[in-house]
Amino acid sequence: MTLYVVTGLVVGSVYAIATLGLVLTYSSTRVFNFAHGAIAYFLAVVFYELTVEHGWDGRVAGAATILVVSPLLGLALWAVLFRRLADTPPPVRLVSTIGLWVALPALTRIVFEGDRYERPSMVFDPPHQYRLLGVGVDSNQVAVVVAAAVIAVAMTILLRATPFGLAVRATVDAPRMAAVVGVNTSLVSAGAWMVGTTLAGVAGVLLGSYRGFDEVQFTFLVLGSFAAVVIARMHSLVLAFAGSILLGLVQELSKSTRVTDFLGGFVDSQSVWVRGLPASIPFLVMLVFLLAYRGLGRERFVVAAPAADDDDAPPTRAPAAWRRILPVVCCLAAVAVAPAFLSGLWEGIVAKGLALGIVFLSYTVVTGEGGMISLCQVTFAGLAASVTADLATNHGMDVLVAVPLAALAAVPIGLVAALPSLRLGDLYLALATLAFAVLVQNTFFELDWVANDGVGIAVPRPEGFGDDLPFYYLLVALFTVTAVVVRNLKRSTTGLELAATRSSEPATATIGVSVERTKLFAFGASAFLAGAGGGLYAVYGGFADPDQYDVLIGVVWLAVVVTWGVRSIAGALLAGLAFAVFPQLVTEHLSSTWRELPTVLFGLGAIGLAREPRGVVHQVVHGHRDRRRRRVERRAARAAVAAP
Amino acid sequence: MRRSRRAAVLLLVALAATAAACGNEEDDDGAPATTAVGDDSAGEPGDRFAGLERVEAPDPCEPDPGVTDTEILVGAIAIESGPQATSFGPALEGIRARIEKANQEGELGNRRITLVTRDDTGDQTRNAEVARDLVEQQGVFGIIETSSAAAGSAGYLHDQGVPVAGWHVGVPAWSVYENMFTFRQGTADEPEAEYTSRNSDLLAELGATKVALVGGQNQSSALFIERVRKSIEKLGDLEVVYENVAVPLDQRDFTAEAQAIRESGADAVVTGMDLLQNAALSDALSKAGASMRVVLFPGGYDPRVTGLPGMEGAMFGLEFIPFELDPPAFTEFDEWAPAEVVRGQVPYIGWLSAEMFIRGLKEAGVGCPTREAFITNLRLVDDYDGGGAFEPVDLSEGFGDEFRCAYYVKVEGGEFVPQFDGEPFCGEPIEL
Amino acid sequence: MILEARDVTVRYGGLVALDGVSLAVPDRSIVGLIGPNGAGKTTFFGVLSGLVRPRAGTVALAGADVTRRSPQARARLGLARTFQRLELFGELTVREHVLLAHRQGRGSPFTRFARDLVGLGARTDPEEDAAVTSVLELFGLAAAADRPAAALGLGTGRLVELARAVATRPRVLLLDEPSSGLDARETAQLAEVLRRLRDDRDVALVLVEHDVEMVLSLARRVTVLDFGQVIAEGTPDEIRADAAVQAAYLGTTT
Repeated sequence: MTLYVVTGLVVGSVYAIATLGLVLTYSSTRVFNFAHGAIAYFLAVVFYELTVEHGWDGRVAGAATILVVSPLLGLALWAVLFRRLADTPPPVRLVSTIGLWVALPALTRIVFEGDRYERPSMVFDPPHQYRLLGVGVDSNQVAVVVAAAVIAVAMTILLRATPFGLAVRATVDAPRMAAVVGVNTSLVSAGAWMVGTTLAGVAGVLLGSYRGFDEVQFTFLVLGSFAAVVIARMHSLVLAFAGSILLGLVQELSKSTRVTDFLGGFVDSQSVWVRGLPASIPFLVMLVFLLAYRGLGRERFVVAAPAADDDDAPPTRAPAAWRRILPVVCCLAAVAVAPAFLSGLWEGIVAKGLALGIVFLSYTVVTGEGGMISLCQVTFAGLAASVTADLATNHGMDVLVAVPLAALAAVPIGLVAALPSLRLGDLYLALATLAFAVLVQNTFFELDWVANDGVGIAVPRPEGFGDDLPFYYLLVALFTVTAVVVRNLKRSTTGLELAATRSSEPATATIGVSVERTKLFAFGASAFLAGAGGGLYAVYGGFADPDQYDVLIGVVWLAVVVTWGVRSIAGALLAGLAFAVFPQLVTEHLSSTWRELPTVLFGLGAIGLAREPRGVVHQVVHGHRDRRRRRVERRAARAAVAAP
Repeated sequence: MRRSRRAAVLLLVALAATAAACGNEEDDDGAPATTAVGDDSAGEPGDRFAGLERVEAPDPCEPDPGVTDTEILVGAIAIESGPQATSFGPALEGIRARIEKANQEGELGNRRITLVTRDDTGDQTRNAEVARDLVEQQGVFGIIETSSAAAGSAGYLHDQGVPVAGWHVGVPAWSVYENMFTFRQGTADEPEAEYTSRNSDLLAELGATKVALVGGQNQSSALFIERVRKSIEKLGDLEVVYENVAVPLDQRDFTAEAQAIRESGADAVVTGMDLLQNAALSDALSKAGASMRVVLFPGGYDPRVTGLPGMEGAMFGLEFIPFELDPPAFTEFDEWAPAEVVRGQVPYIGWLSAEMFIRGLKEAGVGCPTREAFITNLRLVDDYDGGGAFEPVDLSEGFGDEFRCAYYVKVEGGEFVPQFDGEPFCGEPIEL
Repeated sequence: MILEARDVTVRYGGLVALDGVSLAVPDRSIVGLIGPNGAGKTTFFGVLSGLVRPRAGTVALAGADVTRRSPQARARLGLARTFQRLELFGELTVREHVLLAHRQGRGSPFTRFARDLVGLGARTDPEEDAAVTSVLELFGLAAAADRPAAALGLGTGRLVELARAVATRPRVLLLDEPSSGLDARETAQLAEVLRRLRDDRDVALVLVEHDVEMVLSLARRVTVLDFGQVIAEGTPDEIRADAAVQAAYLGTTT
């Protein structure tokens, strides 16, 4: 038992180091930095390069990474991205950091190539051995535990007892007041971010020495540490530390024979439920706390006060209906005639893009209309794909019947995933859907019949649609039908209810609309769409492979669809096409050095949201109108000033 | 897939017809079959290619796609981007080096091989797409493939009759489709039902009695451990005293597991995780004071890892003669691979994959290579040694079985030390 | 009584926001609720509308106990409200606010969802159009009907909130500081609208206001809160003369 307590302490300290930086950043900037782990990874690789590739002494390299490179990176990121996020709505902030989470590892791979096997240490290299309570530990492990405690204390002092900390807290709570009082809010905000990235650097260097410098380490660590951030309610350093230690203890204790024997009484120890348990612990803990902390995180984002006395201005007309559907119709028309110019392969790729377009329409419903950030759409897609494959291949069902049935089967799952949404605000909901997605990935997607040794289940093409061209037009038709249904939804009473819920839940409730039911509808419908798209994607490829529905791929999907525009159907269509088409264009026309480009672009696109929250399509279609209006307003303002 | 069923029927008819034509070994009516011959529903392995006969080059020469008077266009599919790129990407360097040698030394007569590479990002659907790209748009003659996602295009390439050479990476398709040639031998075509006794025999040979099995929580790893366990149970001499297939992908601290393994009394450990995890486990074992007779990893032959904590004493099997014994193929590889290419398993396997492909071209006839000739004639080679990389193997016998023999090395004093005097250690195919 | 609250108590930690507050609203009447800042008026509205849970006390709507019921349920039973800080649906037009409110309580949500999916949900019928138009005209919003709410000035915005609340055909309407931010002309307009509301539509109004004169001129009965407690209740004349109210609030004697 002492063994698991000691190892739990170490594992918990690891989580603490990752979490504390994230909590500090949030409490000083109100931005949940999804890219915190990616930043830690980048800085860890910098440390590795300095020591292993350039032979610097561990301590010097560590100091350089933590004290020089990390703050500079923080400053650069602030200047380019984080600075703009202060005035954006919470969902935009969320997705922008997700974009960085997507782009940064790809950039790291481009800049620093190669495997990283060694574990250079800033502390002792090679590590010294000690014994703690009868358990053998080494200096890296001890360093991790000590560092976690030191960071927790230091950060608390920083925030509570220094002028800088005071300035930070003032700025984050009331930036305009702080500015009035003489706080240089830009400087403070930049400083807060630099502290945050410095902590990421500490995490990277320490945890790299302890656990390794490969990418897998940091990806999963980040995900797991989110649980501790939830326990901390995002802002409490003390709870973050305690929660991390708790997480580590639970995770290690779950390995003890008492627990495994107990579970063995109910379930076969080789089954996915037992196999997936240790990896799932952080996410189970996260969900437990999310459900316990009901009513969390409804951050009131105050819409800019209405312009006074606008009543006399002539009413602006909403764009005519035909203008609204013009982008979609144009795109669909282009898609419909495209086969005249496309080879069989490209017809397939565009068809794949249409299938993805249907998946992305699910984001249009749940995120665009429902205003909820869901990171488990990919899970619905994967579940339905596997069910489609099973029905069609193992039960002989017609594929065109299997797809909608499987999509329907995803709906109850979607409703279950939606339950936390009923009481949680943006960020917490995103995390809850993330936890849900990981849990499904660790269990259902590892079932023998689903994973099938990395190959997945075969899926036949529908009768008569086996060849490229018929399949292409089948998908055009299916996308069109789906798009029409989504458009109906947007313009209907349900659409109005969703828009109302997005704007003001209290007001929506007081006119008699059930906010819960509206959200459940949105999730259920989006689960169906994601499932249908996922099933068709599997039909295109010929198999349902769970590896293609990995949580991290779902994160990239979100980045892509939000970039193009999550409120518009054209946005979903273009996002799907872009996702399918870019990689092939890159591999056909660019050399090996550019291979990571699609991922980087997708990530940067989401980052660009800070400039235009409604995405590329909106910017292109309405941008000129907005610019013209702004020009008119500016001219009017100047005229008003000039008039006597 | 109706096309493959139709093809199979035609082939059976062709087989019957050829058999009826009284087995004239010199038969060269020049009529190509749609794909290589082989009965899909094989009984005994080896029977599958029983009636196979050598195909001669057509005269006058009707070159297959990708072949011109001066050039043979060959496609290469590798993982060049994404997290798996660091593991699989370097294989391309080995492929390029071998092709460079072939071109410089004129191994293919007047023709030079031109390589067209495609990145499948490790995704099965992309793998199928880039294979189509290479075959239909680039018009390659054949493909060299070292991706873990090869199952994506396997059916398509088989239907198109395209020859493929490469690295099986544990994917069963290489043992199912006769147009696919892994650089030596592949895995069982039904992994859940068949395996080899090699691992359990090895453990027994090295004096192990109680075995601990540790795998990751993902299905592939759990399946591997399950196969090992079942093969141990078949043997009867060994006992599995600890089994854990719940290790998360990112775990690096095995203090708890090491303690449990020590308490179980195990004297041998077989791991099925990723290399860094395996090493971390082994390291934790020595820190916990657990002494093992055998610590068996699935792989890790890379000079950069010998010094890592936990690697000392680790043993693993190679599908080729260790470099330390200076096999001819390695000498060539060392000479032709650029200096910055690591002298390790992955680039070398790339080299061997290209070696296989070039041998296939030679078997098809350098004068006028055709796909059918490649696939049939290469399959008939019964003493293929990878250009001096391993003991001669028969490319048709044992097709569909888990490869029987492996060369073992052990890390001692920071070096790889070949075991069993550099001879391969072999097992038998078994049913699970 | 269309709405009756008894002994409502609300605590936030150690702070007592409301202490045994009662209020009775007769059918088709206007009842005023006044008091200094921080007296607890908005909190009380929160309790009445279901957005705040009381520690003790009951709320009854048309005789039925709704203390435990959600805001949606109360809305369906005929309770509507406006908000002190505008809670408009920014992207929806004025007309859509009214339309959405009007459509609540008609038909099962599932059949409506099904109809929505197939494209029948956007259509309006003549009866619905007429109802919506009449509400818009009642508040003089016909001209601004197709403007998005985010583009409106404060005065118009308040009217839209009112229109939205009225469109749900409520039995009782809670108005939280509707004249806040309005100038004298707009306030007079508002008072006129409220009188018309009470007369034309079968609805009782509960009015929380800072503009004491407005309340005293409109309401039939007035309750005065201070520090979470009722310090006076009666007709406007009685309230004008009440010494405690003057001391707490009005500051000057008439």
